[in-house]
Amino acid sequence: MKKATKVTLGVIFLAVLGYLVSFLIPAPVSWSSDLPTFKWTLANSILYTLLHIGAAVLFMAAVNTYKAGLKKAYAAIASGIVLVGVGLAQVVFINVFGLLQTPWVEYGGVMLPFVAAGLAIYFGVRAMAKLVGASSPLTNLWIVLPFLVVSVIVAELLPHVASPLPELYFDISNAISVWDVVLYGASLGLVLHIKKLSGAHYTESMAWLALGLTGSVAITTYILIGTYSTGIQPGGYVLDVAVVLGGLLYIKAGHSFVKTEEL
Amino acid sequence: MVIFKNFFGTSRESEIMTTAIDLATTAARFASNKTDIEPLLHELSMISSRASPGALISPEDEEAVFDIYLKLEHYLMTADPLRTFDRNQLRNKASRGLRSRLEAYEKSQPLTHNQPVRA
Repeated sequence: MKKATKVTLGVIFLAVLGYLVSFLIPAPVSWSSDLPTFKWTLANSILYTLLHIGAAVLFMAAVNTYKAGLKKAYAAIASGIVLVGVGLAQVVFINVFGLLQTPWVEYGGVMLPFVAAGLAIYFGVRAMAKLVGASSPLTNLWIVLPFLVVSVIVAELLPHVASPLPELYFDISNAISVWDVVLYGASLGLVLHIKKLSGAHYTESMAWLALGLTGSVAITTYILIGTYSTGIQPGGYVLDVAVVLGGLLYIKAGHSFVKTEEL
Repeated sequence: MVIFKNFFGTSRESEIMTTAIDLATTAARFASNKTDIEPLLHELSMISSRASPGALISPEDEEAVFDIYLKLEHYLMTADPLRTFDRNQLRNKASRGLRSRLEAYEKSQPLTHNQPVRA
């Protein structure tokens, strides 16, 4: 069995094991809904967190074959992918364990993983694009950053239904979703450009990374539209399934990247 | 099982090349920026288009392809922006007969393939 398959199977095995073990975690006294909802909500969030961490492990498993510049680029991308999973999961943990009144939530720390995820993925992909000599406006910070700022401002001005959330929290959460959509979208554009530019040996790994980023853009856009149209951030099993699928896309991207080690 | 097969995919990595064109084409796949090797790819496609399907290329064309391969190999070992390739790893893609013909050609030549690809 080849290294790529071994590492991928190991990662999937650990994610499924973590998923099953999480059903043993008892509901806290603060939990007011039914027990099965607690169990499934928690288990799903643990599954997609482990899948995202596993994808990052796969990316890092292959970087030693490459030059220092690409190692750094993939380390940034991998940390961004971990932050995507951890960021989404912490929202679930905060809700199910009744941690809404903690300083982490009250002072906005809960938003940091999402802000950092977009930045880490974008700067990682941008570094990779510059390494292979990709010339694109998407690598130009004088274009991307002003566009990012304008998009965030426009998002704040968009009309929305009344929200039970405080207006400031609502605005910040939408601003961060737009921030991520723009940065994931720019990263996706760059990955497609790299895919076109690079030799056939890298086509598959770039295609799967592009699919993973497409998943991130779609999920974040879904959260954004859901928040605007209902006044609260969407959750539930549909989002869980989407994030698990997003994690699997990154796992496949990581698997394809490990395969590029072999000549 | 089909899902697993599709998920893990198939690999070309273990393939051994028996023709000079296949060997050079395989080496070109490893370049992380095709633009850098465009002149070589153009030369290679010119020679490939002259060969009739299934037939062996002429000894002169094979030497021309070996020359392209050696330039590609030099590029991959010294100038590829993402990875430093090892000569033996690359040549292990060739069958024993092809490799000995390549190395015989290499010995007969001055070191012209060490020139930058985009001169």
